[in-house]
Amino acid sequence: MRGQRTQGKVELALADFEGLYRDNYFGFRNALAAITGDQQSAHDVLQEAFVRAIKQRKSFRGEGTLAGWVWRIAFRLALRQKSRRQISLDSDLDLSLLDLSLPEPDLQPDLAAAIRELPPRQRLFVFLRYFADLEYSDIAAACDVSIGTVGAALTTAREALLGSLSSDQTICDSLQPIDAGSE
Amino acid sequence: MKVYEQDLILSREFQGALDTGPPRPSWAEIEARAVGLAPRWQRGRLHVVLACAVVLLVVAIPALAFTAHSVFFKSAPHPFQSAIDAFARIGGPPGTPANTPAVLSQPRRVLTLSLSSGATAALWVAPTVDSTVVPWFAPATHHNDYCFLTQVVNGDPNAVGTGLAWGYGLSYSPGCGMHERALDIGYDVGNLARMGYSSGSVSELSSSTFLVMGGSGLRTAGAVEVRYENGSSTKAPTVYVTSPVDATFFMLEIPYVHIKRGLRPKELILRARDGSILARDGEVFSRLWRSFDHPLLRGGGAGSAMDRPNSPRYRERNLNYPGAGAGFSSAS
Repeated sequence: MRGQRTQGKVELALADFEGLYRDNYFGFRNALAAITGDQQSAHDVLQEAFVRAIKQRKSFRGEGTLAGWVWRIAFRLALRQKSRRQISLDSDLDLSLLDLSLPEPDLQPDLAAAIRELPPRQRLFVFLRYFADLEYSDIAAACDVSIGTVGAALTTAREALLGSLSSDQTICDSLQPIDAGSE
Repeated sequence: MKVYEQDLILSREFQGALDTGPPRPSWAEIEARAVGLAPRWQRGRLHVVLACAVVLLVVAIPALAFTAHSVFFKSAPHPFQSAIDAFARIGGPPGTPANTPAVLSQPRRVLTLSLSSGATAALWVAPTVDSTVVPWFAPATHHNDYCFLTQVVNGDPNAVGTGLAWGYGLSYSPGCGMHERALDIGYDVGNLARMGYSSGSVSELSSSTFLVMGGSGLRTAGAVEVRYENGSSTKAPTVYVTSPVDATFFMLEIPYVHIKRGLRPKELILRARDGSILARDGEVFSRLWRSFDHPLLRGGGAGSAMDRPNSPRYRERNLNYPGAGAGFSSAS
């Protein structure tokens, strides 16, 4: 975890946020674009999320990861952006509202179709895992669920996605060398 | 199949859908908004509080109203006609009626700098209409942005009309900045007269000048520092300009020897009054040297380069358009 823990509190420096931002900008932005619908609005939400996170950094208790905490803020801002209504940043997050889809489905039509078949929560975990490159612990912190829940949902989602995609020749090709190597 | 193998396959699939095109990361903007700037929704209230404080200070203890690093915009020196003309050519951003002037009031001189050539550089600043694309969730509070222009004056900058200056030609435009940005930087390098921005007697004084100027939305800035490739640096104080500009400005002369490879500027750093780093920009100098070294890019004569930031992307006004006046007139 980034930041320094002092007497039960985590003291976060600007550099902690800067590192998180610079290392993960495109992952953040692409996953947020899956909620807001386009990259520009996702960028705006991401900027706003970091600004608010820095201003409110004293309220970060270190109970989850910093990435997960910033994501929680970003989710709410993205929902505000998408639904055009006020959503309190302190309210519990209704994950079912986060209806994610690939912002540009034409780039990967098979993947986009397979993702659409997933339940909203699994879809959210999949985007956070494979677009935002988050660890299970980050996803759990961001979505306020247990790591076990994340693991179980991702296992189910992975099988469903690979099942949907397995007829695709690219996927079949990519499976072969890995299977061969593991035998 | 193991989990990590499945992860690998799906990661590859998602990688194909990953968009790394614009917009680009902008940490400086976040830092500026989170640390150095009041958020938009607070700015209105802050203005009221500041206005009360300023009134009290002006009445009670005028000498302490502003430090040496602050300029009260409305009492700053009035512009030359050439500066008025240059600012009048700035049109409103897309979405505003055609040929609308962007500038809200006359430019004022906020900085002067004695150059090694013996001439004086003046920095003019004017408030301009809001050019920011505001995310819908940010409470709408009207505010403005700003533009700035550097002129090199061959004479007393206080004697309006005596100066011949860079910026006299029609091709010269002010730079513009936004409050949400930590740094908007411009530069003039080399023989600006040969680039067509000057006339007659000022050609010699501008033949070997290297100026860097710009604005910042960070009110707490205290100095700028230019770092060179050889590890040395040049520093200059910034000046805060009050409402309706409400931004920080800087202008510094780089010793001309620093156009040589190995000695060139590589980064500009904006520091707070306590010396801490508020923002940094290396891209502006990368752009400068690409332009300076490339005969097709530099646009001017050999060994010259100039650039002005234009982050709000204002349009250029057609002053021959029927009814298009300057938008304001000189008070001098």
